[in-house]
Amino acid sequence: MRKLKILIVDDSAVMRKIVERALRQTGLNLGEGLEASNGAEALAEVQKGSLDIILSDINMPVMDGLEVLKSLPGIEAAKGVPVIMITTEGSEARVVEALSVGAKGYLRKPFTPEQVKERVSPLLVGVL
Amino acid sequence: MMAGTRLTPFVPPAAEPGAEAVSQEQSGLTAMVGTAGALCSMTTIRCSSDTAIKLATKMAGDETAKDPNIVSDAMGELCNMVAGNFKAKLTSLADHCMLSVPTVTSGDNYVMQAVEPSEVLQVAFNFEASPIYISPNHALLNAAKSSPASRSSSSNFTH
Ligand SMILES: [Mg+2]
Repeated sequence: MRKLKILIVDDSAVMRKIVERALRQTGLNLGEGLEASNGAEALAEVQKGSLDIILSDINMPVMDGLEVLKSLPGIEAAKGVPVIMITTEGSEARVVEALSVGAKGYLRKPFTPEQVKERVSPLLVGVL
Repeated sequence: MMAGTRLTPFVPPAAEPGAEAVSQEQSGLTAMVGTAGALCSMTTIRCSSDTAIKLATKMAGDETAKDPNIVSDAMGELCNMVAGNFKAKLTSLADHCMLSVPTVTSGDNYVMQAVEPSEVLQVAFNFEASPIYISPNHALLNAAKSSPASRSSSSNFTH
């Protein structure tokens, strides 16, 4: 069975680890976790292609998560790759903006592995 | 939640009669996240270095938490979550203020002083028998004047 290729984008290495651990607890057949610590690094990973899903923080230095979302439509390899935003902030406006520019959902930190599964699994129907 | 643990209020141990007050912590870490906009404030989390390493281990795993950068990262993210969730509770303000990226300071020998006089709410939680001090939002308390009895009367705190 093919392993899922997931990109985790967060400026915090600890948070990337927590997200990856939560994903592994969902029982999804994950391959090696791909990571990026800001939006620019994330876009470079996206260009390489064959991602199944992206989970991205919003607040990051260099390039934030909203800018990543706005850049994705211009990248052929990003077509059809769902993005879930991960945010600490309670700003409805930023969540609404993220959803309006293509995010398929969001997770608010702190989150449980069950919440990660709830958001991620429906977006991977048909992939596996 | 992210550290896989539940915090309870910290009750300082009773001092022996006649004993001198001695700091419980030889060194510490303080993580800070600023809020700017409709709400201007600073959220801090402070604990001993040992406690910070334990927290980072819970969050990131044994193999990474020996790295001081990972320990600071974990403290910063915890502070970020406290500040972000505090802001989220203030629905009218949440869309009109932004959080800074976290900053982490090592050591205890410093005084934090707000330029604008304000009040400090500091809550101590118990984490594996060690205190974690969380100070949510200074300037807001100055504006709202409605805080629990645990607030102190000064904007300064010394370690
Ligand atoms: Mg971030």
